Amino acid sequence: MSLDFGIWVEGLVTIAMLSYVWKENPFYRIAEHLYVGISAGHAVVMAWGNIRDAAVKPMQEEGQLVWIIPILLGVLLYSRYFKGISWIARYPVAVMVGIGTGVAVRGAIHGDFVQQISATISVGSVNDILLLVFVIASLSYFFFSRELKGPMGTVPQLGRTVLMVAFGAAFGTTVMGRMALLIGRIQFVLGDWLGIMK
Amino acid sequence: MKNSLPVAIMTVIALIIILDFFVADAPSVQWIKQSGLVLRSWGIVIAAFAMGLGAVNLLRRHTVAISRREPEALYSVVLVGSMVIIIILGIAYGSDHPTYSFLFSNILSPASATMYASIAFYIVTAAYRSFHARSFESWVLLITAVIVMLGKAPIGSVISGFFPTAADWIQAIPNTAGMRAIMMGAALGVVSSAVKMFLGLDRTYLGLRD
Repeated sequence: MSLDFGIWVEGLVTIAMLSYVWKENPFYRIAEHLYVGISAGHAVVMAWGNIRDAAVKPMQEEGQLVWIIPILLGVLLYSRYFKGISWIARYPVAVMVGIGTGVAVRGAIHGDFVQQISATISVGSVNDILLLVFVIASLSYFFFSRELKGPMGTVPQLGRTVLMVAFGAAFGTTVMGRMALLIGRIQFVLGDWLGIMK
Repeated sequence: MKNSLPVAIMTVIALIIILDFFVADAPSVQWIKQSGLVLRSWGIVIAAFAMGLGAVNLLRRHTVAISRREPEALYSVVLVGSMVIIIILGIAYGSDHPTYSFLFSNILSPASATMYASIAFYIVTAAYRSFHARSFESWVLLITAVIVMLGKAPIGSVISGFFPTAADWIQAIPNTAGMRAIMMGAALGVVSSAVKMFLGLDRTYLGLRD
């Protein structure tokens, strides 16, 4: 059994978190609130690091006063706490949503659409041909403008089957990923902490 | 003005960032590239302030619970205490401080891993309840999931070499095809949602309901 204080804390947190599987209990609630508190605090520290490195340092060290604008916009977000002027928060939100939408749209057009089509149509083997057929079939399943009947009706049917295979694979991968984490925690509790397992 | 100006600002900013990616590298359009770069770095700073807004909301909710001595105020004390300690340590001494590292490595990391690990139980019980193979498609889903799980577990290759090979093929071909189709559909959805926002048809992000 370990005599390390850190290992004991880690072990107790692990057991408290796992105890929820049996039933919700005060130990789990304490560990849960500790987890939320520390992760939120860590996120704040990381956010402060971003503000310091991206805006405060260039202002202080290089005199780039333009960084006052995003800082001011960030501060204006907090106007939502003051009733009469809460509408001001719409401006920084608009800037943030504009940036987010721009980045999402260019990523969607380039990475999720053009590059995916380009990767799908570059056929060089039997598997590539199968991939092309499966992608077309899957896309046809999402074609709702007109119902495909007769022999063409088999294409969305194949697409539906391909999607089921994809969902099955995604499910299997998720379960195995979670199992790997669980095995890691059990190995820690029985090995590193309690020393039962080598 | 209070409603239409933010929509105009959002549209102009989004279009600059989109154009920044698609315009050529010519000197005449350098201002678009430069503006796009500056706006994206501003986004990091504003998003950091927004993160603080979330933290303030969390602290407000729990400090109210403590001041009202609600039945579960003890848990709020734990949350507020741990949050304040890590914020003070992180901002005053940096994330290299030994206590900060202790909280991160001995509480946050194992709690996070265990939280995700415990989901394994719920996924398996949910699957047991919902995986009634009543149709061809549900059979396909069930069999694929079993093959992929056996393919990824050491026992799969002990039973037969078929499982790892089949799992790899399923992941590489039908899974990629299905996910690619979903991704393309989602990309079109992103673009159409953006157009709706540009036209002012969707203003819910400003807290406005049409």
